[in-house]
Amino acid sequence: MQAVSQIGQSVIDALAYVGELASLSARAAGFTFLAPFRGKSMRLGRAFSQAMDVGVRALPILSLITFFIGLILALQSAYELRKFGAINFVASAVAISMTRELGPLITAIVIAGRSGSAFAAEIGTMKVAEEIDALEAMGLNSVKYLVVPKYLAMLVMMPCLTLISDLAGILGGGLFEIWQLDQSYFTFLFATRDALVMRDIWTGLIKSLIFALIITKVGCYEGFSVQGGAEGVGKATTSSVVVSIFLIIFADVVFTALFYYTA
Amino acid sequence: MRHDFEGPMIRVVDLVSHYGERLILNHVSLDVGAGETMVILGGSGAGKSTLLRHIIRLERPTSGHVYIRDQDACCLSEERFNLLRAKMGMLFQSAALFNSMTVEENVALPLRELTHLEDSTIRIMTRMKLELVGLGGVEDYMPSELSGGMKKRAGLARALAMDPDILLFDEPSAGLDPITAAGIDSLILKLKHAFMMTIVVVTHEMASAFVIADRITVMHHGEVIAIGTPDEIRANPHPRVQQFLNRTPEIETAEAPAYLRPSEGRPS
Repeated sequence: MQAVSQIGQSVIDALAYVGELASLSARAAGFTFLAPFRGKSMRLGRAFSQAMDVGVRALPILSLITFFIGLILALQSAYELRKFGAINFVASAVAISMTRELGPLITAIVIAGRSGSAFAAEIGTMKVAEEIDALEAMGLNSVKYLVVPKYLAMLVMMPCLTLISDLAGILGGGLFEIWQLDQSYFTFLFATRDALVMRDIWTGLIKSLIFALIITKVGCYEGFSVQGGAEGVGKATTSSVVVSIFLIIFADVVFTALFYYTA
Repeated sequence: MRHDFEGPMIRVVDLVSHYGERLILNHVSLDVGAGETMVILGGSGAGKSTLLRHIIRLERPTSGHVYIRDQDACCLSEERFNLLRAKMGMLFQSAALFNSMTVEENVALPLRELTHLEDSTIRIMTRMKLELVGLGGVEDYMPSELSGGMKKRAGLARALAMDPDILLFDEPSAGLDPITAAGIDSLILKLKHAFMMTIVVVTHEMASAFVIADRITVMHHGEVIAIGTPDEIRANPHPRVQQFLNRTPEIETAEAPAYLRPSEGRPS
């Protein structure tokens, strides 16, 4: 009996968490998309510097990781495809799985670890140091001031990063094909081009937008809900990464199924 | 100074506030007139900082009302109340400077975000505010490079940035040496006389309270136990007030309060 009520309680807690996430993102969305139409000025400066942080500075590590992922993917699929004499399909296998799945997913996981945790730590530290109160006391809305630039930066940068991950992954796969399978550079390029359709790329990009929303709202929400001192900030940072990776994978399942059945 | 409203600048009516289950403010009522300096005195945990946070609506009351310039803070939308807040300044106990910005950027932030002034004008205004609090020449320092007293002054400069007519101070002299604390006191007096500001100061420093106050409110365990001019407070017969004035220690009670007692006799 107690076990059942505990399960029930944790389900209620989880739903409440999702509800609070939704309310935070609704407020942020209001400031992002509705305020400009009501004649409120938008300060884009902070969104630009956020975009530099979450986007441009993540490029080296992200492209290196996805390059290796592409290479691994080529090695693994070659191992199986070789048995069927279908080794020429390695190029298309890599291209399709990078653009449809691994490009967006790996990008989201790297950015969740890199930027989602940074959002939680930044907002959490500000909360502990009374800086959030100071913002509110000045008459500045803390959601508008802190969350909106992050949303804008993430919504613009995530698709861009995902495209670059796709590219780096395909190049990683290409490296294997060119060296190991003695294919020419052009054979690989044409095989990749023939394998991909636009749908593969844009379904990946839609996913990346969803992941951008998840990472931002989880990171910011965890930051705002920090209680206590430095320990609270550490906990929030950790749980922002854990929760956003879980929600990313969950959303991935839902959207992949959706794209599969609507194809 | 003329106002477009009647009555006191700040009016707190029957305010009740809880922190979780714990009662923090118990039916607190208080008026602060325009141009008046009100000092709220009380021991730690008396609820005085919470009262200050209610005045600028960083907390929501369980019941009761706070009126700022005759407008009920509890019923205003956030946007409307932010218009009021723009004319209020608050100095936090920790100064609450933004650690990622220089002193100048800290002071300029409200001007940059809430006004449409030219950048050059903002720079001049920022310098003026910093000069006013005696901090000329530290514009480019980071908050972590400042001493405690300088942080307080920088926080005050930021609170003054929008030329407020209500200033709230949370423990302005806490953690400062007596000389620096006296410096902050004289700064408060200067602001009061030069700009006719309405000032509310929360403190437990008796010396500072009697220097700056027009009226003093004494709080104990979330209740107001005395309000009056400094002379009236000195003459107040309430035992708690006298205990506070004479710095008498708490008489050791044999019975610990219920919430401190370990639960006994419960099987572990």
